[in-house]
Order: sequence, then C-alpha cells, then structure tokens
Amino acid sequence: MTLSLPTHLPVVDHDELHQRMMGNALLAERMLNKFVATAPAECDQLESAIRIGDKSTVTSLAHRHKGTAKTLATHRVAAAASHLEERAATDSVSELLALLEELRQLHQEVRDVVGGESTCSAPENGAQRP
Amino acid sequence: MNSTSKSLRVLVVDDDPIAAETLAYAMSQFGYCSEVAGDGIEALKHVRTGQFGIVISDVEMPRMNGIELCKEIRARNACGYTYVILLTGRSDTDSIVEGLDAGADDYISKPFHPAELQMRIRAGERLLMQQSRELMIFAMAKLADSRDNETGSHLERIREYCRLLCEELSTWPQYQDVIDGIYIQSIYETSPLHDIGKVAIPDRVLLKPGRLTPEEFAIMTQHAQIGGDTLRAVAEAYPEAVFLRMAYEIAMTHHERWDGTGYPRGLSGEDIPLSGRIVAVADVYDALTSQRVYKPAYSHEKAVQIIRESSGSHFDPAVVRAFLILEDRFREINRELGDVVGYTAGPSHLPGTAIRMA
Repeated sequence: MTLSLPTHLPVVDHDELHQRMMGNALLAERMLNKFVATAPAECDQLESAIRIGDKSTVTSLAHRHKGTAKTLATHRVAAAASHLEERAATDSVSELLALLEELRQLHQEVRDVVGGESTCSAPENGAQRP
Repeated sequence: MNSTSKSLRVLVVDDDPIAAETLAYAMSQFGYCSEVAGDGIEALKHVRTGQFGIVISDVEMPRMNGIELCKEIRARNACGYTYVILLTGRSDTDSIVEGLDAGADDYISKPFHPAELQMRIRAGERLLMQQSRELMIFAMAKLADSRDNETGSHLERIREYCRLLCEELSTWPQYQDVIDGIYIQSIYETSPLHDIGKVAIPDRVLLKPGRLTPEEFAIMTQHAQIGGDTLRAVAEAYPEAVFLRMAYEIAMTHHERWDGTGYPRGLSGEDIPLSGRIVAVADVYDALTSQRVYKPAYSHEKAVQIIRESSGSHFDPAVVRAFLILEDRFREINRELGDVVGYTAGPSHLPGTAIRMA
C-alpha cells in the first residue's frame, strides 16, 4: 500500500517556517540542517523497529517524526510520517518499508532544498530486503 | 522582545530536540528563562528544585510521558503550584480529557503558534501571580494573628463569612453595581488583614485575660488606626493594586459602628465603607462563637440573637439582613472550620465581650 502524498505542496513551506521560527532565518536554517542531518538515523531506527516487528516503537518514532516535520513546515514529510504511524499496526513489513522509503525520498527533497548533503542515504532496495 | 529579565522560569520538556530548541527559542523571545528536559524523569528533577513556575511538556516521550509527569508534579506539589501546559500532536477529545484529568492546566496542539503560546503562558503567569499574592497576604495576616491566636482558624472563617455575605448582597439590586467578582475576590483576600495593626499592641494588653481597663482599651483600639495607616501607605505606594485600597478600608473601619459610636473615627452609616461594614458582622460573629481567654464560646443561636439585636446600632441593617438569610451557612462554616471548644449560652449581658472584640 502506498500513500498518495500532497505532491502539489512544496517540500518546505518557507513562509510558515519563517512564522514558526518567529522570523529568525538563521534558526530556521539551522533547524532544517539539523533535521536532514538526524533524519537518516531516525529512519534507520524506524527500519530496525519495522523489521523486528516492534509496532509500538514504530508508532512512537513515526509520531515524533511527524511532529518534527510539522514544526519545520515540511508538510509532505509530516503526511508520510503520519501515514506510517497510522499503518504501524499492520503485519505487512513490506508495506511499512515502502512507506519508509517514501519518507527517505522526501528527506532527500528537503536536503536538496537546504543544500545539505546526504550522509546516510537509504539502503539500495531497502524496501525489498527480506 | 529579546530579554530574559522575567523572573518566571519555564521548563520545556520534549524528546524531540528540534521541537525543544524551537520552544526554548520562543521562550527567550517572550522574555522567559528556560531549561530543556528530554523526558519526564529528567523534568521531575528540575521541577523538584522549585525554580520552575511553568512546565510546557510534550505528551509522548520515552521513560516518563507527559501525562505521567503531570500526575507526578501534582502528587509532589511541595514547592508551590506548577502551571503545566501539555503540548502535543494529539488533539482529539479523549487525549485532551486525559491530559486535563492528570492535572494539566492547559493543552496546546503541536506545532504551536508562537503568539497563541505566549498568551497561554501569560494566562498561567497571571494565575501564579494571583496565587503568590494570596499566599503573601494570608501569611502576613497569620503572622499578625499569631500573637493572640486563640482561635486557630479565625482568619479562614472570616474570609469565608465575608465571601458569603458579598455573594448574597451582590444579588440585591442596590449592590449589583458595587459588588462584582473582583470585589468578592478582593474581600476574600484582604479581610484576613483586618487586625494586622495588632502587631503594634503590647503583650500586656493584647494577651491580658479578662476585661481591659479604660486605658488598656484605648491602647487596644489603636490597632485599627495603626493597621489602616500602614495599609494606606502601601496602597498609596502601589495605586495600581486596587485590593490594597480595600485592605486599608477594612483595617481602618471594621470597628466603626453604624450609629457612629465606633472607632477610630466615629464614622456612621454609609460613611463607613461597605467592606468595613461587612467585615464587622463577620468578625463579631466569629468572636462570639469562639472561645477566648476572656470569654467562653457562645452558641450560634446566641450569636445570631446578638447580631440581630445590634442591627441599626452596631451593624448596617442591610448586612444583618443578609447575615440572617445566610445564618445556616455561617453555622456550617463555623462547624467545618471551627476550633474544638464547647459552646455556652453565654451571659445575658456582654460588656466584656463587646470590649474585647477590639
């Protein structure tokens, strides 16, 4: 099962981010950089939890990631994390890994926007790995 | 605004470093000092220092979540009240009810809107200031009362009686424009200060068992003037603190009598501020129903009889009418907050009692 994300939205809503950071552009940039820097590790944690079937941890991590994404006005990322949170109870590991892969791709879009470089990209064929 | 001059400290609790840092930045912009804790366990250590008036906490966190933290704070409320705002992405009714049931004061959806959060914090700040004010006033009153404190809960009863009388009078057309919620809260807070001037009365007079000589009585009556003068000076120094004006009025006039034979200024009728007329009835009822070194405790019925008979002489007839409507409630409060003493019917004439009500 894949998610139909709101692709018409920019990956980062800069106006909203500006408002949330109370007009502090440097803080906004720093928070976005922090996000793209920590997102790969969070995805790795999610992947581990998915693979061992730890549904509560998947729910918890996805929920927190959704909150972070909303704080940074990255609504498509938030929507993907929200979908992962909602589907965390499923027994379909492949479905959850597919959702996680979508999340990783969105992180890459954010990374492209902020000009950061990926330090920990998604594993190749991660969604298909047994 | 980018200062951190406010004394109120805010504890931010969130396991998401980005959310926590954003919140901490917002606090600095609002002028508050803040600290960050990553979960409930860490937050509790900070709360126990007593340095944080407001806690803004995420709900979903490892080790101890926001709901559990809230319950722990309420269970260990040893360092004054802590205002707790829960901040979470879950905004369904069940989650909100669970949070408020755990003792949270407010609930804000995540991600927060800075302006909304600032207003919510200000609401918390107002509540904490109100609590601090009440505590300070009552502590001062207790301190003054402790010198001749033969009736441990006298001040607690007085303020309850005053509130009752005000609530009743506020429903009467002639008082509806005078007695509002602020008036009632003010008299509740400041009526315990009515005898604060007694701190200046010598022990040999204040603590003397039995009747006072005329000279001693004259000394005793000075407490109204002294208390009034003290509170007037404070009220003039802080004119924005309206409640201090009422505190002054009460201390100065609660021994004035409707017929003009009271003290310290011999005011009569409506020249006596309403607050003073209300406290006069409350104070005398409590004095009559309490045991003192110079008199036994009279029964509720006896006290009611004395107050009824003093309507139009000692007391404002309108306040006495309100008292008579509420007499059962007075009896309940007297029982609930009363000191354990035996009632007596009391003597048929009460000159000593009247004198020592000073």
